Amino acid sequence: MKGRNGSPFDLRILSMALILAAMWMYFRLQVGGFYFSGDSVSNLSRDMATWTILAAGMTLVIVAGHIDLSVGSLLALVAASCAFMIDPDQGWGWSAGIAVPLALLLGTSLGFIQGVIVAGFRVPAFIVTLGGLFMFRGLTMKVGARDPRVPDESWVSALGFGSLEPSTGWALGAASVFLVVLFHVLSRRRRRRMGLPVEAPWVSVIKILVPSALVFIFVAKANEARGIPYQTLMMMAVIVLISFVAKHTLFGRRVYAVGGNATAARLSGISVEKTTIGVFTLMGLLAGIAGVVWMAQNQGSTKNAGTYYELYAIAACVIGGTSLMGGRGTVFGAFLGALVMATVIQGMDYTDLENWLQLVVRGSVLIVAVAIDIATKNPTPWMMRLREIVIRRKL
Amino acid sequence: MRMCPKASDTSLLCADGITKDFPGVRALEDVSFDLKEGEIHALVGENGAGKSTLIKILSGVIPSSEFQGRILQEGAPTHFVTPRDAEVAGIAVIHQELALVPHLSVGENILLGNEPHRRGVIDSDRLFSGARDALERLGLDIDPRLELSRLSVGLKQLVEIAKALHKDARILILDEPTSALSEEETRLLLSLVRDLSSQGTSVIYITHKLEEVFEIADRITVLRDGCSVACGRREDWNRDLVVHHMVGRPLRELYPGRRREPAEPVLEVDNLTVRDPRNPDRDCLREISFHVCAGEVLGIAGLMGAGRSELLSTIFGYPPGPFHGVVRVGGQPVTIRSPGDAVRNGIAMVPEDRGTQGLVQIASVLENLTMSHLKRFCTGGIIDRHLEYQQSMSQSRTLRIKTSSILVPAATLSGGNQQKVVLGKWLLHPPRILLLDDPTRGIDVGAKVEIYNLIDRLASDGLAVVFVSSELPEVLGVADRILVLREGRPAGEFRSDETTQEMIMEAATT
Repeated sequence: MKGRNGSPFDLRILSMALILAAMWMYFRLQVGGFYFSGDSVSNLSRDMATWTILAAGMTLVIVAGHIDLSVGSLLALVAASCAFMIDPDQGWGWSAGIAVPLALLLGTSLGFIQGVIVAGFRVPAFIVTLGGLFMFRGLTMKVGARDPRVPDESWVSALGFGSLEPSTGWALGAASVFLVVLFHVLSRRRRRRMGLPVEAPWVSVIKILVPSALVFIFVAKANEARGIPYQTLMMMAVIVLISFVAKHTLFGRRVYAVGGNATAARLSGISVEKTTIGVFTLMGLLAGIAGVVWMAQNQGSTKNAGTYYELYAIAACVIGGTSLMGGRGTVFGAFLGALVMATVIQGMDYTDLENWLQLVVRGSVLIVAVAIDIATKNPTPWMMRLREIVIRRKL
Repeated sequence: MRMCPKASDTSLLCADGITKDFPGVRALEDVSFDLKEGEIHALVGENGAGKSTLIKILSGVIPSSEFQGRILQEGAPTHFVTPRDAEVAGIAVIHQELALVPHLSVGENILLGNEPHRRGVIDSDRLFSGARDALERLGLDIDPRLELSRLSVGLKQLVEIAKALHKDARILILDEPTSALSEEETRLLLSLVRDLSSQGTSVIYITHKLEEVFEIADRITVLRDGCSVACGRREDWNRDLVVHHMVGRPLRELYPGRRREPAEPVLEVDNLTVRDPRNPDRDCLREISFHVCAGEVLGIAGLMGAGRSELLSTIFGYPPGPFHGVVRVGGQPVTIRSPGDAVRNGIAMVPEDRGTQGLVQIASVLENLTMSHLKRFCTGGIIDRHLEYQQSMSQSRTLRIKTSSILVPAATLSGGNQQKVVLGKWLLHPPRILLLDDPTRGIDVGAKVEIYNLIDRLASDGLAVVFVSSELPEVLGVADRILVLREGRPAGEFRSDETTQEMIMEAATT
């Protein structure tokens, strides 16, 4: 990724990383040695998994110029249906091997249907998915009326409680670092062969070293506990995959074009309708995956599963720099945004802040983060006046 | 006439030694400009010459800390930080894009932001009488209670001026005020501007239309490449001299010589009729038939609203309303239901408005260039980004797109370069048929010539080109044949080497 002002790094990612580091330091001082222990790190990664998966899909929805308010309810509906299909006492007692694919299909189809209504009937996504938010929650109450359970023997439960063997964790960490190195080496070689500008070697080295170091620290910390949790792996896989879809595929590029200017995209031969339906379908699939993970984590389902998750997902995207006007935003940014949210939530839990205050702080973090972002991009008149005064003082 | 003029400090408004840099480009270099009381001062120059930047500086859009140089008002230095500061100082800008609220009344628009009120409750009697006064000063008889959206573009433009007058603007900056106006509306606007200046209002008048400049300006300043190259009273200027200063060289041959051999027909349209979506009893196009051959440029002429753009967008699968008729490509009848179908049939279109229809402004030049033919860089839906970069780079070099990098947003380019991006997007994989809807509108002479040459080259390579333009000399200079439309109906077809502007104008109007 390349920065706008000719710097080889993305300044926005850099500043987010600094904010995260500062927050971690603060909570470490407040909480003490337990913070940053293996348990705390692996809990953080587990807790954020479900709604970070939602945030990945939400990035594409928002980039396409829409919004999806239904994902929290959809997650709950998928979790409840899946648990109902598996539960041998109250439900149908099917094996997870059948129930999980069916549950994912349910999420995907409901996403598809919402997409068709948005694209085919021009009903604003805000309305369609607001309707979905109510309808899916209602259906969840019916399907999950008696809180269906998933027995411990079922393999899906591992998704909630299992983790990689420490040695496998190290191997996976090493493999991903190897892939990053390979990617950079191949890319440099290819660029040189095609006569394109190649970035300075030290830039590549930093771009390899920093993520590698983070991967190894994470693996080490997770292994201090019980190893890398499965749902963390799931989340990472989704982030990497959707990020790839956004940047390197035909579909992803079309999403950005449609969100940036739908008329221009249409007049370039892109089908705006198909792209929109595709985005909502993908969102439905991801809500399905998140639903299954949620069910595994909670060994079943409740009526209140995933409440507010759509808002966490949207908040993560927006903190991560996705523009609500469409056309701009990255999945990796949304991941960092989710990390900020998760850090705040977990940190406040550890510092025993009262519940009501926690919600107030979460809200303020969202507003402040976005306000800072907007202030740097598009300052209002009083900010410009202030800056003018400051500059004049210095002269 | 003074070359590289020095502004006099005691004028009503004076910009002295203004230099402004944007990343990678110097937009203005040591520009000086002054405006006297009650004077109409025309500012002319090619696109990208720095006119808009200068206006932004004079009207506070660019804050005073972001450029070098001084702004003086009656000799006293001023520092505008926001547009509001300039407004308070009596400077009002009337932009090309109108800053009016369509669903409020004319009166509410005129007093927008200054509504007379008592403890927050609007006093509508005072509001409408105030609006009526402002309209009367302009000699306009418009009911201030009328909803704004019911006025024509020309009248809206005048309402905007009334709004500025109501705020006691002493300096009016008119930025291309007549680009969307009819002949008659233009007359009205020009005479109003003249009246205002005789009442003591000073006007900075920016336009591409030199006739207007010579009609109303007291003084003329020419900008070129960010420098003020000449300034003088109207009597000291003539048209050729202005053009000479604008382009920095005498213009000899605008249009390329035509040495093309039209071959077999590639695009044939039979009895195309399109219904007007707003008025079901009316057709916006009726029984249009024509053909274009490989290696031929067909010009389409007609007045505004004659159905030129509607014709192109219907062929391209983006019709304004329900239509019927037969379109054949290469002799085969085709059904085109969407722009995607059109592209698959080898048709490409450069739309009328590059800003809202041609480009994704916030996306990079590269992404815009490859948008239509992205599939060609994909295997299994995955983009080969190196190949994409390499090909866009060579495309941007071929078309000589001026930009610091192809990774910057398309919005940062000048009009002519943006248009080259829109063209380049289709030429990445040359189509068989190229539909061009007024491709040279609002771009400077240099870029126009490049586009004429490009059209000529493409036609010589065997493309069939349909070329719509509002400027008759341009249609005559570029096209081989010309189809004239009048109120959605065919009004004659001419060979361009045996016709004149007058003949076309007559067919288009009578």
